Amino acid sequence: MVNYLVNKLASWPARPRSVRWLFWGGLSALVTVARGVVAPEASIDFNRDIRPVLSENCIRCHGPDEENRKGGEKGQGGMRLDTRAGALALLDDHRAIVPGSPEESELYLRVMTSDENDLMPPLKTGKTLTDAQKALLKKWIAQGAPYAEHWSYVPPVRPGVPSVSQAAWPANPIDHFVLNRLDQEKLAPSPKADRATLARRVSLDLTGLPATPAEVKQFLADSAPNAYERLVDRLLAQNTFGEHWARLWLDQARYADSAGYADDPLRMIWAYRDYLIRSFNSNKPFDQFTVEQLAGDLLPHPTEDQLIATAFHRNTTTNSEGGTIDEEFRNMAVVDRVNTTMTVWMGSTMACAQCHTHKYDPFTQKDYFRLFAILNNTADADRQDEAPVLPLFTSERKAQRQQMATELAALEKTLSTRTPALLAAQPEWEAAFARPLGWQTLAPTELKSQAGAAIVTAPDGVITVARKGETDIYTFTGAVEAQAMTALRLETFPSDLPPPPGPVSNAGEFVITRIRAALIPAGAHEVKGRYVRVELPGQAQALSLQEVEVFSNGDNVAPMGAASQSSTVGEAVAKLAIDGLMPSKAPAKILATLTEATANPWWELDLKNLQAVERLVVWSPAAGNGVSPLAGAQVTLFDENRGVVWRTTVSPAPTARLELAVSAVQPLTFITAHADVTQDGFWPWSVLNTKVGRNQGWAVGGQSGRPHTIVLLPEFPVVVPAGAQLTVMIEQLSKKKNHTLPKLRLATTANQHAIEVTRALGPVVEALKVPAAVRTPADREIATAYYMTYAPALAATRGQLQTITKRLELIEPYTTVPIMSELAGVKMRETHIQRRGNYLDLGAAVTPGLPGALHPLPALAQPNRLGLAQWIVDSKNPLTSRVIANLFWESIFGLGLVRTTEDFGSQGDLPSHPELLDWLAVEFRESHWDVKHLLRLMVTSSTYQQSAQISEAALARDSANQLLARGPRFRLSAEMIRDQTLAVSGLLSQKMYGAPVHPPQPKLGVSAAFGTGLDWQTSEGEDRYRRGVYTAWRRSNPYPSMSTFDAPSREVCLVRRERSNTPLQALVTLNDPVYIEAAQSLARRMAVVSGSPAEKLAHGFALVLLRAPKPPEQKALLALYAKSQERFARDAAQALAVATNPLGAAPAQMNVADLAAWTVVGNVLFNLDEFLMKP
Amino acid sequence: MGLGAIALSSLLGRNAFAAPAVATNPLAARLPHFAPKAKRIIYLHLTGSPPNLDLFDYKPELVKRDGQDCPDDFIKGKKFAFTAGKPKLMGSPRTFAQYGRSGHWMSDAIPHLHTVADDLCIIHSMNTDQFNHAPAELLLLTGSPRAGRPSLGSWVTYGLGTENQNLPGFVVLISSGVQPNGGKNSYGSGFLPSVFQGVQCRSKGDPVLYAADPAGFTRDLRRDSLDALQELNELQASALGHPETRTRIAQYELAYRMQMSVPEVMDISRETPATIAAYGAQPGESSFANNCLLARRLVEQGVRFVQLFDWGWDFHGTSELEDIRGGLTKKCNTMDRPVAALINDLRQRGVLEDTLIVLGGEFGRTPFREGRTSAGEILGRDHYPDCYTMILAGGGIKGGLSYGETDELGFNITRDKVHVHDLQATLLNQLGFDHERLTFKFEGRNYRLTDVHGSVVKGILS
Repeated sequence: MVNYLVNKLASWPARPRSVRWLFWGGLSALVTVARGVVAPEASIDFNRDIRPVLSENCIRCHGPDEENRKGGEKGQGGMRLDTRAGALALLDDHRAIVPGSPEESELYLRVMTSDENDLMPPLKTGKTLTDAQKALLKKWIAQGAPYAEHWSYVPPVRPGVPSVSQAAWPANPIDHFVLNRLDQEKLAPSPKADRATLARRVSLDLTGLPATPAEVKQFLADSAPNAYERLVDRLLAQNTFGEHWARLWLDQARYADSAGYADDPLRMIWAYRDYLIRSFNSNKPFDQFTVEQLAGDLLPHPTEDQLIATAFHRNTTTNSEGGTIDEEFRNMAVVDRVNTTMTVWMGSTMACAQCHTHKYDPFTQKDYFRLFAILNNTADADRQDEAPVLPLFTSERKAQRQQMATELAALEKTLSTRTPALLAAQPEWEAAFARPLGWQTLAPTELKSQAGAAIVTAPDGVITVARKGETDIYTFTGAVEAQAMTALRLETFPSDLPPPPGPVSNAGEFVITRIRAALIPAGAHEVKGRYVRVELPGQAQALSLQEVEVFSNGDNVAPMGAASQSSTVGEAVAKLAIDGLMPSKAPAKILATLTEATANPWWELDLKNLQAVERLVVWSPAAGNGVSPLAGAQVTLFDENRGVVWRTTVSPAPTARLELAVSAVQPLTFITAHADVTQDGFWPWSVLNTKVGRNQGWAVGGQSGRPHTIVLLPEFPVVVPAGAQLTVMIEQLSKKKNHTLPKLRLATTANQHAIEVTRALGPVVEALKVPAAVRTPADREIATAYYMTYAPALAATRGQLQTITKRLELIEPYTTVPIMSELAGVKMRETHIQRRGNYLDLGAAVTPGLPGALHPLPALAQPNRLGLAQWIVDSKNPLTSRVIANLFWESIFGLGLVRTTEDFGSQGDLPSHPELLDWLAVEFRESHWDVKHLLRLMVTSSTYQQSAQISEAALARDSANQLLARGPRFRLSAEMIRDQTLAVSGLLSQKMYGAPVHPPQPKLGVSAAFGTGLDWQTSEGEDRYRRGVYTAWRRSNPYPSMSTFDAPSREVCLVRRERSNTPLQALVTLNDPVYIEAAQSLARRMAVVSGSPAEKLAHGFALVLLRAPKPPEQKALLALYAKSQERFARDAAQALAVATNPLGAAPAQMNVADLAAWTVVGNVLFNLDEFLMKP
Repeated sequence: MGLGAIALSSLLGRNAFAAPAVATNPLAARLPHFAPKAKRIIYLHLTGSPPNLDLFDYKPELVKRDGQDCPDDFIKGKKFAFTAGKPKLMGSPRTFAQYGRSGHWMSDAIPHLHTVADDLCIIHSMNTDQFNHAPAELLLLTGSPRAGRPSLGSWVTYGLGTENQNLPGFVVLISSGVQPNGGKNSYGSGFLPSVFQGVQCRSKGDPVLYAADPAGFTRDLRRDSLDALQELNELQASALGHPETRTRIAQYELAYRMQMSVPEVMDISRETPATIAAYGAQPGESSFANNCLLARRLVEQGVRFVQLFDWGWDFHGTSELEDIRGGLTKKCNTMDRPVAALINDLRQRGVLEDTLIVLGGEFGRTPFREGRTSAGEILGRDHYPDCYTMILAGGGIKGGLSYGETDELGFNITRDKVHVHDLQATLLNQLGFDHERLTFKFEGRNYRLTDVHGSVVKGILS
């Protein structure tokens, strides 16, 4: 190891010196400093000259944040320099500024002092003022220290178009502003770029793809004076336009196909991406585009598209790591929404105000949380299922659904029409209703307690349990009469025993978390197993499974087990078969397991303990040839000692889904449950739900001193065969400890009126008790209305309704998309100021509202999301039109007119061309927010059409091209580099929209933390060659080649991408199989051209760069071709690899060595600086 | 315009002392704020967080009270990932003894680390704000629990550049086949230019993505291609005069050299059998041991920040692998020997004093038994943010020092709290940076690794 630093220490600079203005400052400062001095007579412009100095050096400690403001005696509120009143205020015995008298102004004295203790800014901040800055401050104070409002908070007014030195140069007003500025700087614009260059430039800018040779040809042949404008219009009309501009907005929206955090599960939200493409292509006015995304759901009668648009704010990350608090991460999502909204539309860094009043900009912490309150009222809550989501149906299925809805409406009408015949039958129904249900007590012969409690039964069927253990599961089994069972009843009784010592609260209280029941037909018995094994006998067999479900008492318990298999191919690991994703449920591609082709491959599931299993469902990958690939497979259930308890051999079947009955035990499904008493939040029906867990259940809260009943209803009467036994499991697994039943009784009934009797609520029961003749009109209505829902004559109609309803539910959406949905009424959330941004440390409550320093809410707008959106696009908003015009400007010209695209506040840069920015902002707004119009203005300007050639002098003068004395030239984005390569090689698919695709990426062999593998199965067919905008975006592992070219991971909104230039990028375009494949494809396009190598080269070169090679270029490339060809002619294997791997076999008539040599040439073309740059 | 003039200007603006070379190469070596004590960091992150109470923080009183109800005072108002109600205290089932002249208490799970006890600075008083893995890891490594901030290694590379232009400046090595909890964010560059992000190098497959030439592209063929490419790019550079074209030409040459140098440095079979054995490494495999040896090879070649991630330290006790008895022994066997070997190796080569090694997880683990498994046989602990242990060695840190203290049950810090922001400030300090001045302007604010917190832990500096 070297002592390199020690050597360098010798030349240590004495003290850091700020050189910020040379590189970062607003252009005026750049030019000023570059010239050395400020013209002595020039008057000071506060925003241009003074604010940046104060903002950079003073305002952090002497700004709006009163809690942390410094200066003066403690408790006086400190010295304030961001407002004139503050600066002029008397503090102790001095004022920061005495207008006209620098020598009496504390500010000036403190920046000039030689006393290190008094010096401002303090030494420890590492900041120092330059002599020029000190001189500026002095002059400003001498001139009276005028302040001005920060430029971006003053609404833009359309400025007059300035005059210029060359009247012929401007093509539109943009050019007047640019040339006027160049005139002032004594610079001249560059000549116009040549037509081919222009065609490539404007095509890349508008569509993200190079113009095709045909388009270039058409353009070059078009001699009309407006040929270029016509080209622009053709490009603006292409569908590729929307695909390109959607990308920009996906970065703003932090769009990804996964949810983020440790396990980063996949998320289905691509319908939002398609919405963006459609919106840009249809040139949706930007104000409408804004309102739809922020508040589409709050518009009157929102369309499907307007709902999809609200996914903008559902792109926030959600954390489903085990043990997380949903509210914490929901809160984080709202914080992100506040910050993103303000950054994207208003270039304002609101984020600082989450913890304290903004140190630079006029946002208080209260402002922050009033805005937070607006966004804090949506239904999403960091849930794993992403609820609420909107299902989307194909037009065919939409029609089907519409048809069914019509049928349902007709049926409902029939069901609600009280015909005389129906009314005549009511007394008969009432008579049956009045009869008792005939409950038959279950006399269990087998009584079990999981906790081992002692149980006794009395002759009347009452079961007493000597409660033991904190939780318990009671299992009772007994004979039931052969008949149809229509309801199961559980009666609970208070304990006879005195309450046990200890907390009284749970003396008689109980919580039933679940009730399950099953019929065991005579002769049938429960089968219990621990291991499920699928084995495919034979030589060289590969076993592949999509899913294995193991049902125990009606639940699929497979996902709780652990899977293994004999061998694994790639990422097709065993656990994919127990991930709970069923092919019928998930429209996205379901991954399957796969073993290597060996003798007798197997897959096995360990359920972790012995469990009753009644059936298995095995899903295999699609049975293409009509025969299940599992035919002949052996499926076995083993006990804990690996003894076979059940086994079957799969017979040939045409379906992917195989259902295998393990035992004749028949779990019962109940559709609802009713109880006499319910504690709030502990609803009776929660005993039916597998997902309730330990937090809920049925309870009677404080009324346990008397008996209660809960009745469970199956959807259809259960046919009970002779000799069958009924098993009932009562789970009491609540988090509330010791809440188990002391006494209970079970009963069943076969009465066909069980449902209607059970479901009848108090008023119905009371009404029916009164003889029909003497009922009040109100009671008569209650009775008849209830009768109508059960009228026997309508049974068939009700059945039809049910069938259609079920069929309707079975129609599957082609995708779903998470959306925003506003909470109403009691569900609305109250928002408080969060101290230091901590969601658990709440301060005062706040009402929804907008920052006080900016314009008010438009008339008639409400302080909700819709109001926020209207406020953002309101004509009084000083920021939105500027910020968005600047965003598009940056995309086209490479550098914003405000370089800090994301920050228009006092810490951001000043605009280089303030009047041009204001003109564009007003033009954009007054053109009804017409995006294509704005872009057309930019690309048809003479400014845009300049050559990008640059002289040494120009480079020294304005290296960043902020003065726009030449054409814009910068590196293409990650997506454009990919798309362009595929396009010119002829591989690019033109397919639009749909689920994200998986182009080839290197196998990484790693998983997300707690999550699934990050590798994917490469898409097949044209999906392998789709545009980058469709590539699946996994946040924990963005597509590697694109992230190397500065594509973000999209956890948070990114307004402006970097454009780095690194060796790792060279490795991508040189070696990534995607680029090799493209070179191979390009080689085939070159090789088929008849003629000399020079002609073939010219063809390929023109495809790639839309121009002919210059002689030295041609010479170098032909030399490379010849030398490579010679090499490949000697080595056929090498030639084959270079020409065909990975693209595939070469067409028969083609010479492989020749193709290989052209592949090498193509690979060079794809790495040319010119190819990677916008020309 | 090269890296993006904006990023560069910001870098220059913030770090005005930077060498002029930066203007053309963002990775050019640069000097920090002041003379550093350490020139490089090897950061060994034990993803999931090992149980401090079973390794380094000996609590005899906790052993005495094993099985008792957890005192209310300790858990009131606190939230745990998987534990609710009243958990039971759990003394460590492991055997502890004192080692070295310093008398560090250490458990029997880490026998090799016993032998280097006097090199270790054991901080018992670490604490964090987060108790879920991903946010805690992001807070530790990026200064914020939300994704999107630059990682420690990125800040260091932004500040120092890289010494060896043929290798990435910030290398990430991952064992156990799982990404860190924060995904790529844990070594990402956040809003810093992407040249400063960690580059994952792999001991299996392509050492750096796309470093291998495609099938059939031999080296001499590649050379010919690059020569032609350079010729055309030179023509372009002269025709248009854009400096970025020249940068690109240089980057292609660097890529070409990197294709050679990365596989070379990643090839541990070039080490002596004795060295390989000392680490317990196995050439061709992917393991923590291999990565420790690779880390040494990388820093030897001038890489300034090597970040290791090793998955599998989340000892909840939900499976035998997560049992703090047998499971912990097994897991420690993969870490203990290579870490001790790394310390010895660096010392023997005379570079331990200016190489800072950091070892630890993203938070601590509870002194009580994890709630979900309280009825089972397997012993595990839940996540615990209020106190935990981290180990530092070399790089100007006092070896043999035991810093900070927790109470007798390991619930609270009783002396010398070290927050993760303090640790970050200290690591930067050792590399010669004032953590308050290593900043980057983004969205109108000067961001830094330590956010608005952190102070250097002076007590552990040698």
